[in-house]
Amino acid sequence: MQRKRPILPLSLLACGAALAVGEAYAADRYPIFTDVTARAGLAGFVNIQGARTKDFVIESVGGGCALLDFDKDGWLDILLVRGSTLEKIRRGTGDPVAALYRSNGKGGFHDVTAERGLTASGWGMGVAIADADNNGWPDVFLTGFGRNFLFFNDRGRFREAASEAGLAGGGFSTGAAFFDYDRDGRLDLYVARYVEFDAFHPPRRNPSCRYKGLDVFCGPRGLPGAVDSLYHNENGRRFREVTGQAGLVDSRWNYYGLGVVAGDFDDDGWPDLYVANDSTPNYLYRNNGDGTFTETATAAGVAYNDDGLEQASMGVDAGDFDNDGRLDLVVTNFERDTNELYRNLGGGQFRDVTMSSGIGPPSFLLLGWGVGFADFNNDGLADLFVANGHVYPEVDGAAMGASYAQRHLLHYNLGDGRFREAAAQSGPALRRAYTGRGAAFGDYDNDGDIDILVNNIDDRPTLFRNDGGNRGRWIRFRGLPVGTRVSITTPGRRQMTEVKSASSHLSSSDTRLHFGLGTDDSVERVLVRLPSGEVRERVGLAAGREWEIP
Amino acid sequence: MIVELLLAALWQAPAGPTGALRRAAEMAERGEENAAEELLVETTRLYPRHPDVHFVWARLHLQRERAPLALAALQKVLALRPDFPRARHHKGLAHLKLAEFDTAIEEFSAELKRDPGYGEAYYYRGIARAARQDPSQAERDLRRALELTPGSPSVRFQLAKLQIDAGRPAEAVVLLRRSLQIQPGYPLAHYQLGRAYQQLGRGKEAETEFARARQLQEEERAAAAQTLRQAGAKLQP
Repeated sequence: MQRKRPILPLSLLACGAALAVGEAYAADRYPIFTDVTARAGLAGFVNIQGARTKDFVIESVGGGCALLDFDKDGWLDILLVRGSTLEKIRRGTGDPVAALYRSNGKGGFHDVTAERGLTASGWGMGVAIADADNNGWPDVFLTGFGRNFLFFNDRGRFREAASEAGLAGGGFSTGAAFFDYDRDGRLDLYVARYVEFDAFHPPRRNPSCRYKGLDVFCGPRGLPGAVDSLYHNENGRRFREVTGQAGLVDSRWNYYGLGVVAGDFDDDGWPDLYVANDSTPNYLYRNNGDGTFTETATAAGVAYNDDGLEQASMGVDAGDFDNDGRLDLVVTNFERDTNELYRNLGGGQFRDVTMSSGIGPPSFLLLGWGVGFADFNNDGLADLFVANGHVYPEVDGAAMGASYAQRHLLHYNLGDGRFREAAAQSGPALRRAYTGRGAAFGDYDNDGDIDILVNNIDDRPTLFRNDGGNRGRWIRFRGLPVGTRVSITTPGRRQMTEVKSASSHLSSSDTRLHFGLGTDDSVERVLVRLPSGEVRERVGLAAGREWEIP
Repeated sequence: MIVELLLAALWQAPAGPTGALRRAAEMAERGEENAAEELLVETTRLYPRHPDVHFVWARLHLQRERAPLALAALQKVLALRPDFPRARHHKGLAHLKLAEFDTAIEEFSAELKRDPGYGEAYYYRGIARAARQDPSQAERDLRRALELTPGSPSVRFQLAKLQIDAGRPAEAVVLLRRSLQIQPGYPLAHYQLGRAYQQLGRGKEAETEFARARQLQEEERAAAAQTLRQAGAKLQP
């Protein structure tokens, strides 16, 4: 996580631009995000992640969160991943790895973790949600330190079956994503891993572990990386590891894997994969369409920043911010570095537009984790939210211009390739500082705009309710399988996105696809490309409601 | 012990803080930042109105990524001596570290007004201007920096990046090759050379350069791992 010192003094700064963009952007178009955590009944959850002094790298990374409708009642429920402490892990106990909160449909939630069978102990890290066994109910995969957990969902009740499914794994797993890489109709699973970490002999602080003159925990630099895995879904209940035969290269490089997102980045109909690696180059696995992948990140321009410097990458998302019909990528990074925005040029090539888009400078003194493209003001343009928080408590009081708790970023898309960061104009809750990690996005109150859930480290989570985003019209599509691509056409604009099982930092967002429409009352044309390649078309769909495309 | 000896020497130096400051700067350069700070605290107590003292503080703060403190120290320097050499340049560096590009450009410009032959100020102003999305002014500054510091691989690297972004990869190749002659094994230059070759449609050469960049970075990573292992081993009982 700790960035190495750039070889070129300050060369990294060339990646960021303090653009005076969006001056004409009307302030009354910003929605207000209200912290409704307590009244929603979520304040009792604390994401324990080791000691608050953060003496070991494992205590700084987790955890994720999810917005899912596990009981299919039409209301999004909440899953929060929880870590533990080294003492408990050494004793073989750990803490409950997650908490499941069911929506009451009135803005409130209550804890149904035990009642619904989502119980397991250990050190939780991340979450991916998808219907792995094709029974029509969303299953839950939780990554963790020591082992992973797979909870099959049968009509809203869970049963843990990672070992029998061959997914218990081990080591220090972080990000995960379900995607049907061979398009056989069953969702496969990629699991990123971070470092080799021995709870009984953890790397102790020593003089070589320093950050800007401060003594800090060791890692990940200097620690051996742990190898990512790809599992093939054999029959919906059983998975088989195919990492080597699929051509994945992490066993060679041992990079420090964190965020994972799948999507068809080269528009060939086969889902590809992008993996954010901490302090090492990122991976872009292009799906060859024959059960194998080719790692192309460097040639594609998404392994490094614009200088060619590896970054401490944490969270990732894919979305079409410029409405050109291609999935772009965003990656969050360390403090004194910029979050990167890569514009998809087509043909497997990306351009780093961090500087010209204006997302770089506001991120420079912040440490980014969860991230997501979402149209928060329903104007038909994908905005960007970034959850922030430092890893080193020692930065407080070090007069570096950084702090441990940090404010989040909300970049509003101006529609001309540029963004304006306006979290401070989006309500007092977004002017406060948090220790953010995973972030998930979805309309939990079904009022037509996208809300935000953030899992904070060593603290309660934050549920930010979007108030006013629904001033713009919207349309939503539900019930689509992971990997489905939906394109909509309205007068003067075309938008596209895909159903994802996971993204951000170790998190999973609402799988319903939400599009802002501005002032348009309907959508002229909808194209739905299913993972099988089948394309369905609908015309003249009304705004302001959810649609199923059977 | 070293600090005590230096302090003793300092007490015996009637000419001012120069010797102590030089030692503090050397310590900081060796990574002995805490010892350097101890020495500076004592020196500041003895010479609170000497601009050199505050200037060395500013440099140390910058090294330790404490840009706000560096700016405060530089304000003291300039209050004591408004034309202090390089004070405005260092203010520019501090603003760069805070991603305050407009202010940084102003400070580098002020330094260049005082000393038009200072290539480093052109270099950093060029970086700040590139960050402000002003590639033509950035290129002009970097070209001037190259004239003033012809041996600098960093200036060539930054100039080459601008040329690649501007769709002039052939010019970038020349600069980057020269940069690698001056400083072989510079991974970022290999990476940019790969980008330039890619733009030129020379795929094989691009692949070679990308692979070389990654290999060099892996070697750095391995060295870091070795350092950590050795440091960790010393801690074992």
